[in-house]
Amino acid sequence: MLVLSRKVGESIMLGEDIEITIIEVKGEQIRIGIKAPQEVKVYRKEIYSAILSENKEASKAPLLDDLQSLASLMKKAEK
Amino acid sequence: MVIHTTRFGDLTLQEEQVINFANGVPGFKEATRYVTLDLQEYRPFLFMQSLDLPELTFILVDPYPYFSSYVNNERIAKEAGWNVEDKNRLLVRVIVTIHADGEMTVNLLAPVLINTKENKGEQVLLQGVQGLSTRHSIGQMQTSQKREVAP
Repeated sequence: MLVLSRKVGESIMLGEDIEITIIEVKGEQIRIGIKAPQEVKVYRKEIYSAILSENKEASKAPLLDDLQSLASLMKKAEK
Repeated sequence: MVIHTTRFGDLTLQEEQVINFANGVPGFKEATRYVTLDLQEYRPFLFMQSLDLPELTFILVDPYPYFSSYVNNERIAKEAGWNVEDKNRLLVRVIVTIHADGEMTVNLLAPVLINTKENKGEQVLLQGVQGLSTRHSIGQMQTSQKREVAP
């Protein structure tokens, strides 16, 4: 991992289009500003990781027969 | 075209049925093309089948019957950074996880947004909305009806 030191107000460029600026440092919290093109998605890592692991879990979809019985249960519940 | 799937066998599809997820979904970046399958006998569930990974199938459900105050399609599109011309063409579905103990949960933190006009889709991470998690319960199977969950 590349490690750089920056002061408040200073920035880092990732390629030509992405700029990351240190806005404020307050104790253990650091506020960061990010300028990036619309198509670049910016995620808080813990949220991204949670979604990733849930997708992995969800993709272990049950067999179709099992799901059919589930579906009929759901229909009953709706009535 | 004919695509091969693990769960549904070979499916014959029209090109215009394919929904493109430019960046895939987290965990499956390599799978960018999906088709949704709405089969009578599995309703209210819907399947989101990958064309790139035959074994990859997500189960989707409409969140609003269960969570009537859930974030609306326009807000989700805004979070995704989409320009919306016609909000009626925006479909919101959430991914269902069926746990080994029979509990069914949905991922409200990251709904699937589909533009049915442009055939594009995205799993949108709603980082700016409070109170959403990846596991909201929508039901529990009876103990006697517990089933093995496929690996």
